[in-house]
Amino acid sequence: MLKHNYSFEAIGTPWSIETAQPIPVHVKKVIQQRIQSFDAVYSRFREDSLITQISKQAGRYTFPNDATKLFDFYKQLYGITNGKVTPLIGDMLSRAGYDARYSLKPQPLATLPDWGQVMSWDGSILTTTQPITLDVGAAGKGYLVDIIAEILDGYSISEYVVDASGDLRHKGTTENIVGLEHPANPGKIIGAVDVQNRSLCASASNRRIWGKGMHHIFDPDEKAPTQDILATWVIADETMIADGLATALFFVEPKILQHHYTFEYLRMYASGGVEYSAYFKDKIF
Amino acid sequence: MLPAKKPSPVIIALIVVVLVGLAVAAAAVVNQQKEVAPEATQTQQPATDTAADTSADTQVTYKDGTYTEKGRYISPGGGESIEVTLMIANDIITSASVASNATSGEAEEYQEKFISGYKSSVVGKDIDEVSLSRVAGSSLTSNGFNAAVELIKADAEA
Repeated sequence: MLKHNYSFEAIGTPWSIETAQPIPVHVKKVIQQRIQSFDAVYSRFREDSLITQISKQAGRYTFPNDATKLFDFYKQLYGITNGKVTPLIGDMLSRAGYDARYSLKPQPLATLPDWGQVMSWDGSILTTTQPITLDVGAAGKGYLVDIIAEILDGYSISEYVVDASGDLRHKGTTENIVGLEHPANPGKIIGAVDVQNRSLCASASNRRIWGKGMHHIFDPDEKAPTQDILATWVIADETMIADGLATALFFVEPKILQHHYTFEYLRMYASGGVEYSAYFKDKIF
Repeated sequence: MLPAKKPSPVIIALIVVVLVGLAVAAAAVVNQQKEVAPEATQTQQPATDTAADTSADTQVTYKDGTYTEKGRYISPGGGESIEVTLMIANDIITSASVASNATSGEAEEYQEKFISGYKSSVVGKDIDEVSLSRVAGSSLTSNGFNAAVELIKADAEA
């Protein structure tokens, strides 16, 4: 077990970074500044963020360089899932009540525009043809975990777990047994895995609920939250990939994603059954 | 006397899907699209159901039992096979397993990647029964979201 735990709340969720040695104060400062700069660009919940500006008027916007990797990945997922995983989902989530003020009052939902019709990327420069509400919830948190891990690497911190509540990355030789929380029964776990030098992301519809059947994983075609799948877990080398695939598994069959990415998965159906790749086989109770 | 029940079309379809997917994956990875011929061969048939009552709507569609099917496909490395076993009770697949009979190392690797499982119900364990470093499920929510949900609940009850 790693002895030192640095906990804080960021981007709407609790974080903890566990390390073998205490994280020096100046490194903590770098981490917090990086999270702030990320939030200032990508948060749909901040009045002053770049994403909020983009939701108000069409135009040409310069993102930081980190946008390229994130939106390249989104573009891939958008293609593979036929638009089910889309950063344009922000508008639908907002109207459904999951908006910047947490109004939680559903309004009528509009059909989402096609990626190619409303936005084009040239490196990290975005040009939009109309106001769009971007939401990077499907992969953004995982990406930020990778970014923080990179900072720790840069300061030669070699043993750590960055855990952003459901999305985590491990490095080192220490044991890291992660219980897989039962989505319908949070006092129970349905399995446990030792995640070593890889990332695990969990996605479940049970906690961010604001009304009957209303949760934060929306099917853009149905204009409604997904219902068949309760929870997904993905293990991959990068947290961003694991995070995005955990969301994609709510919409598409694992084998479609397996043609494009290397990962292990487990998903639980509303019926109570679970489906899993070989790695999870002997890890489910 | 009713005719003997055939293994369900659903099961056959499932196995064919498994085999086609596997064969395609195996062929595609080496980038050598050779002709692929998935073929489900029945190796075990359930006993004839003599007690069936055709008038009952509640009758189960599939006879309980264990069904095993072997499928063959041609990989660039030669002929390979894979065996699928399903257990069925009350029309529900209660367990499914896939056994690889791969002869070449390459085929074994591809089959291993493809083999996945399904359990129709998971019991789970209490969190404190297992020694854990942490738990991963849905993300914990921020105070802002929680406070808003409390407000909504209060509104709804008012």
